[in-house]
Amino acid sequence: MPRSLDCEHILENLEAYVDGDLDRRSTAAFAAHLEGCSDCAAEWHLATDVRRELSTLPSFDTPPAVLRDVYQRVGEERFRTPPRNQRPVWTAIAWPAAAAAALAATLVSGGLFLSRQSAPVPEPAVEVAAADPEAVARATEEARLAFAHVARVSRKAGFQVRDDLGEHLVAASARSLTQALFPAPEVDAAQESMDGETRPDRS
Amino acid sequence: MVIGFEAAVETHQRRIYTFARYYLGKPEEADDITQEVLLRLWNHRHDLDDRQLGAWLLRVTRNACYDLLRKRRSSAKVFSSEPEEEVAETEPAQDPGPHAQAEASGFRGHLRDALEELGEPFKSVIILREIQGFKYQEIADALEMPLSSVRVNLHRGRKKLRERLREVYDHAAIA
Repeated sequence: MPRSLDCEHILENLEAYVDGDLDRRSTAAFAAHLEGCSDCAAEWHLATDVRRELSTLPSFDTPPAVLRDVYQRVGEERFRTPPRNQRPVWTAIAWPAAAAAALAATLVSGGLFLSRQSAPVPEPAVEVAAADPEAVARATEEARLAFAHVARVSRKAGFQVRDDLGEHLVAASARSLTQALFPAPEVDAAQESMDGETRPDRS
Repeated sequence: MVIGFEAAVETHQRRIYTFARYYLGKPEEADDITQEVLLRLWNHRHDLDDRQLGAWLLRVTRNACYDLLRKRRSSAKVFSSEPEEEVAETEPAQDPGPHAQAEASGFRGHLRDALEELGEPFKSVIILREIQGFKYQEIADALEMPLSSVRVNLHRGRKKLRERLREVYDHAAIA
């Protein structure tokens, strides 16, 4: 049996009626129609069943294995490439600089230790540069190479390392060591000033 | 993102996974989508504002589900002459298993089947609103549609479900 225009209108707007979205007048007209029309009333029951059933469908937690996989992959990535914009600039150079500084400090303190000790050293824990210019040059070169290696590894790990940082640290330490081991003769400050020259770098 | 990755996962994983489960109808695919979405969250964690996070995650989840269904559909070489919105997004499961068969015999099973067959944007709106209980504004933000469209699509989607269920019951009555 073909539905009347009223039934078409009812079925078209049934969901709004179920949700209570119609104004009072339309709601009253809907209710009146549903009382007298069994077809539309059946559809109304079906519409309310659909809405109620949907609202009772359960939610699901993500399976723990899926979350474990996510955390594992994230952990690997975090290890592989630390997020650069989360680290302040100083931390990016801190540990390579510290490593190079430690190396340079060993060089300096070792040299000083050897030059100031008159008594024989029992058993040095670390082999340090011998107190002669050639040995100092070798130690300086080794420190340069060591720092270059540290810098290379640091860059691979995502750190930013200034190119001239190692050179600066090693050269400064080598200068200190040389000055400590082989003190230069006193220079007449006035003469130096007049010559306009600085003391030659012995490193 | 201020709250941190782990806290964001804790807060949103259930919403992501539940959406994917109902959208795709297959738990193993929901697993894959959830993992994909959470890894994308990790990759974008520095770009996201906490206030946008929920909507962003829902949008990414919906898009990932939609893409997967399109791939599934194209690989199955299913053709339809119907308009895009009306095209069924999923095929029925080939082997539903005894539990699914038992469940499918009831109203809830028919309803879930009808939901899986529903096209966009009705399916997303119905899952988000009726099953997951999101507010209209949250759905509008997530799906990037006007607030009024959320309500219209919700009603049209439920009407389609009702009509689909009516077909099923009428067919069963005739048989």
